[in-house]
Amino acid sequence: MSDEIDLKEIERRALTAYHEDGLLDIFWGGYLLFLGLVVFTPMEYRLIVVMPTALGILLYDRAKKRVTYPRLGYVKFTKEMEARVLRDTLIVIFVAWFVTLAGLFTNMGVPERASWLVLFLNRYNLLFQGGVLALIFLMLGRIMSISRLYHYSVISLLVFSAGYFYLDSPYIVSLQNLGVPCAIIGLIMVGIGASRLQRFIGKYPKEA
Amino acid sequence: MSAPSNNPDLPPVNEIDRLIHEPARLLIMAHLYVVEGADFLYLMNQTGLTFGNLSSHMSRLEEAGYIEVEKTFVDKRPNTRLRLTEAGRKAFDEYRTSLKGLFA
Repeated sequence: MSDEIDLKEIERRALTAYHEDGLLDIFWGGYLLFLGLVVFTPMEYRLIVVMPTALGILLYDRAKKRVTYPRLGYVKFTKEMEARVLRDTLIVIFVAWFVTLAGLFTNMGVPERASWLVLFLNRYNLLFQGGVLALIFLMLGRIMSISRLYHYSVISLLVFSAGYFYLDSPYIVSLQNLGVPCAIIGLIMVGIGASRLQRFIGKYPKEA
Repeated sequence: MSAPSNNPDLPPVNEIDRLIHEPARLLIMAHLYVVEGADFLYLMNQTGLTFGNLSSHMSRLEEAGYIEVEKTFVDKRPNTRLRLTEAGRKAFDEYRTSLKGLFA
């Protein structure tokens, strides 16, 4: 018998079970898909990108209540744990947005006396953006103890790398070029999420 | 040979809380320790205990004042929510400490 009860493992399993339903994949994938498609709309419509963020959180909450709690049961995590996950997630998102914006600015034209970094980011922009997305998934996977986010990290790298090599103008990166890999990753995530949801519903039938 | 509890060289076996030491109750306590609260269905799924088993252990822990049971309705369906009390949290901490001491 072990002299120590592995509470960290129990906590990790609680978090994993909570996200076993695939809803997170569907909503994040849906958001990425939406982001990927919205870049093909005229500039003035792109602000609607804010809308599904708020709507998505509301829908996710409702879906959890309707799908997850009646099947898996309800769990309220400790305030410390919720605060820790929220803090770490916000740090990741903030850093990711900052890095992504910095990367995007390099697409707005390379000045004559640009630094090597700007030139480098401009040249390998899709790879850079893919790396950022991969890093986000990697860190979120660690924060939230969801191992499949590591797989999304690899998928992101692969899809963006493929985009870099196969899209028309990898040297002059446009938002459209960025949108295609985003949409593909989003679609993959939605597909995996839907399959997980189907398995979850089969594994935990709703009590009569 | 003297009884273990009288021998100062032997670890304090009798300090172990037997109510928590029972495997099913230990599972319930450990799962409730890492969260703020959970309902009956969640604990059933996480611990793998049957309805009757969980129910009887839940009553024992409630009688001891280690857990608090709240019966509510969610969408017109009965819902039983459980959480560790302060006494339960303290007892679980002490149980872990004494268990560690036993094998140190």
